[in-house]
Amino acid sequence: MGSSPPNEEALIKRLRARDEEAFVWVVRTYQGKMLSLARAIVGEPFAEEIVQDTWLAVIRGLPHFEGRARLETWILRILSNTAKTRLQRERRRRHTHLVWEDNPPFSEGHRFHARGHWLSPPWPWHEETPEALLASEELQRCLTKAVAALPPAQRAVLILRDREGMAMEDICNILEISATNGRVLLYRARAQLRAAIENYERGKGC
Amino acid sequence: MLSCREVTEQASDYLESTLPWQQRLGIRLHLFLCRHCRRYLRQLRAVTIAFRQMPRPEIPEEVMDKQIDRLRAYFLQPEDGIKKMD
Repeated sequence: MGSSPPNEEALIKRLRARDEEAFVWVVRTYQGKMLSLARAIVGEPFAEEIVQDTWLAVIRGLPHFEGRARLETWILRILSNTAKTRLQRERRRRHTHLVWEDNPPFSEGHRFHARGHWLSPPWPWHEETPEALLASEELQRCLTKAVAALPPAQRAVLILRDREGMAMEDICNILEISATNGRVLLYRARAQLRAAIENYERGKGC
Repeated sequence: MLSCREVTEQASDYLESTLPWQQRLGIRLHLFLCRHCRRYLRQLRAVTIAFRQMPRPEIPEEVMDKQIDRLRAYFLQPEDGIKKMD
């Protein structure tokens, strides 16, 4: 198998033939991303279980997988649906108050005049570079905390786009959202990260 | 001419480079004239890139191996694997 990605069609054939080596390669390759997305949607306590349930569904579904989507997209879509269902169930059990469809608008509207000019412009930071943010543990903690506070759908798009570097088209496919919705979710998530750092720079803490 | 509010709302798309060129041009023109929006965009870009490069939680090797072992049994024997998984 090696480290280079095998040909997709050949890989699926081998998986269907219950080829162990192919299966282990697939688990190693996708496990990290799966855990990342499960955490984003439903939170740490349930993430591992969601990943495991997804694998069981993947194994059961392999004979029916037609290869119309890429293997990765298909696996992550199963995971996203499993995680969303779990989110609903945990909400009924009152373990979480989070709702997938809930996408509270993040509006900085109050910072503009009626005609759209800045009323309270962006606060200057000590340094406005990614390097400066990465050099400070405090600022990284701030970012981590801001990500944790996002609604699940915003966090899922942000993680898949900015951490996993996936194409927006694939992300919308996996999460079953429209392209427009995907763009809005990404914008709101990023805007809230910026606002979190701004608050910190203004001395308001994280 | 775009307003500052419109520019901030399109800033994330602008970073993605997915906007049609006319819209990009409109934003660039606005940025040329407006230091507040330049700052907003600089900051948005900084957090986006920083988040991309932040260390990500890796799965420890031994945890991964354990997970693979559990799944392997089920992969090879889905029929009686179900009992083993619980």
